[in-house]
Amino acid sequence: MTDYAAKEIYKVHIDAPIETVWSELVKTTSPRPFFWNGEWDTPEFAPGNPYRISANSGKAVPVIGRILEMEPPHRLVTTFRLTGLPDPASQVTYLLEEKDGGTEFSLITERVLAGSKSEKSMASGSKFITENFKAYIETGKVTFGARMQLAMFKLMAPITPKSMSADNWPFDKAE
Amino acid sequence: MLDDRDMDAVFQALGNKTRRRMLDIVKETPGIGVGVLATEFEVSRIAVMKHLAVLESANLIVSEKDGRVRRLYFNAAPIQMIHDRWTTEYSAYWAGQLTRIKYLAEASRPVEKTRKGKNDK
Repeated sequence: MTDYAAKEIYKVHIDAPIETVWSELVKTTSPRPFFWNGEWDTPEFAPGNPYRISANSGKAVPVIGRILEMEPPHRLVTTFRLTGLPDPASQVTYLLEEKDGGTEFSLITERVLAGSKSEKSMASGSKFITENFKAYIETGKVTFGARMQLAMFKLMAPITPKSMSADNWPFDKAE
Repeated sequence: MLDDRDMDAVFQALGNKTRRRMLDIVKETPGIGVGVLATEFEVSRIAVMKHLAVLESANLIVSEKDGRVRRLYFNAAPIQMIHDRWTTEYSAYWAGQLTRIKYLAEASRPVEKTRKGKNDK
């Protein structure tokens, strides 16, 4: 039996209408700063379809997965696999709820292999995403710390691990 | 960034020993039911519910209904945002090293002082 870590929930209130928050979350036409400037790449943003988060102008694919459920503007459920690590796919859910004239945004991680590198990476990653998604929508840019990190990533682009190379991750590798 | 009202709520919620212990337990046991959590405290169930309401309104705890059980999860986001307001990557590294030394030093102390307080009234 696989030993999964307990489900984790990361939640922020975003001062923007739910439609705005949703459309920024699923926008496929520009890099998403709160995803470390990754871009959604999918044949069709709809349940059943695979997706990739691509980086370095499409040369790297840090994340691959499948869209399981999608109910705009409330709910997106995906499988989620970090290509740089040997762990199996987990499940990531993005939930949006209208509240006090704004939106409550939750990121939920489930079925993450307990004690794995993915577990650590997703815990810190989820904090980064929720915090910076809020900052990006409310202020137009991610936090100062995140901007430093993105600048560093840009410098490191040429040494991105081969395991993340886009050639290794065609859509049919999505679980 | 949290606005001042949100931040007041977080600090107010953290400014209480019982609520801090509740957070410890929920963080250690994601998905713990309200009933089970309440048994860890000697105060009345109503008092536990009040504390939970404060923690939830500060967004430090998120709850989910699962059949008849209300399950609780620790939400790291508000504390992360407070951390980032006053800490740069560089200072975080050194602060992290220092806290590590502090924890190591404390762990090597004689065990008579365990951190488990026996009453929480």
